[in-house]
Amino acid sequence: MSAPRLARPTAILLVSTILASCASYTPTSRQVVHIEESKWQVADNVAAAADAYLEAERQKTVFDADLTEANVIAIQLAVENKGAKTMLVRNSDVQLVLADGRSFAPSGVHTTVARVGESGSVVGAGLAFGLIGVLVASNAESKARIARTADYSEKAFTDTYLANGERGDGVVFFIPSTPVCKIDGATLKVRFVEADTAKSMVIDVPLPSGPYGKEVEVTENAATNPNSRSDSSVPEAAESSGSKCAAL
Amino acid sequence: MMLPNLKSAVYGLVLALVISGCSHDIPLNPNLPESAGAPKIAETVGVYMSSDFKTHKHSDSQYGDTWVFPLGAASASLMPKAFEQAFAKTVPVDALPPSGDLPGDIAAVIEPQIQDFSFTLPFIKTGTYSSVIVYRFRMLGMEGTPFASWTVEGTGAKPGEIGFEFARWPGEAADLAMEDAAHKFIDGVAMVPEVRRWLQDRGAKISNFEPKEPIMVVYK
Repeated sequence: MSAPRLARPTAILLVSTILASCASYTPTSRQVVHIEESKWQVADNVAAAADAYLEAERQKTVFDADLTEANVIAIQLAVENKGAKTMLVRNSDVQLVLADGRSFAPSGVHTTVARVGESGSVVGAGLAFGLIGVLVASNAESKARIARTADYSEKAFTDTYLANGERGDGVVFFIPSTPVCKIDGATLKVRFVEADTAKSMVIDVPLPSGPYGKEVEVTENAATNPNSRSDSSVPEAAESSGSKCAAL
Repeated sequence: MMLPNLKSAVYGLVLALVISGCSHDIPLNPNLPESAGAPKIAETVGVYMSSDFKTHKHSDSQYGDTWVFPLGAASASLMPKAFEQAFAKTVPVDALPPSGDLPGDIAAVIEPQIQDFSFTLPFIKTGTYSSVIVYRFRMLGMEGTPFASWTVEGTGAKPGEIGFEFARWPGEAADLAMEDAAHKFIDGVAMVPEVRRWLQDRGAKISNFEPKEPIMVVYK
């Protein structure tokens, strides 16, 4: 085979190798959170505890992403039923309430994955490497998104029935409609429902304090997220501040 | 001498088309076979579908193309069938309680909402197309107070085939996701604690809760 004939496959292989590494996702091992017993909130016969993934390093380890940059708040929730009656805890019944009064409902895994996105740029790859670049980058991005969705689904807090003595845990994702740079004083409202009678009780679980991101100035109103749901958001705050949160 | 220029032009055109992308209106046609069994709940329920629900469209870009799913219209044709299998009788209503225009024989009103939707496309058309949809269901008493609100997630996956149809396979995967959600609604509605309490308040006899029981039939 002549040199020119070898050059094309070699170039394709090279481009494929480069682009394949652009968007990839390797599911991480489940990070079991052992929340100290002293941090559990107990009411009647149920208990709950929470831990927020505030630090970029922990976010990267568990979710292979900078969640702060993506405006995603991930909170590990653990629940326990200490009573005799079966209790139900639904993901959609959990609520994040900030110290300033804003509150947010959880986002679904697929919405979260779409928000986090993949690092590869199909258009950029196309501009740099042509059609082959587009195809290879698209393939890598698709595979990464599927793997990320499966992994986040595995880690997510799903609707859970708890019999006596049972515990359940998982991650609840929130996508605030306005920037959240710190969660000091924030609480997670966790609702338990008796499976038989629908009698419910809500436990307020305080979240650990700490900066979530640093406030950075933006020149346009790009801080708001029109796709997120908020029960009582304050959009005016984001529009007037002209700021957003970025990773520390 | 013109050939290289022509090749470059064609190549550039293809690349431009790939990058600029197209918009695909996805055909949706979810279906629900008629159930042979009795409805799960022996009550007459009003069905309210808001205009936001009926006209809901999900639009997203993947592979440089825009994919538009008219989920509202499809769901508005599917969900009434699911409600008919879940409740003894359903009546379409144009308003939520406590509106005075509601029929007198309904015990509650149910309202479906589309909360979340996502889809994936395979790299090669013979690969697997997948979709996930999350519905929220609200039930309101005739005095207007919501007494139950819960979510149901449906998933669907479908392998594609070689051909020039770009919209068919994402649509069929979305159909499967909507149908899956409808089945889960039918199977699970009588297990929602707040629905169970509502039924108890209306005098229904309900067995003790057993989470492992897939379906609980409730009769008055």
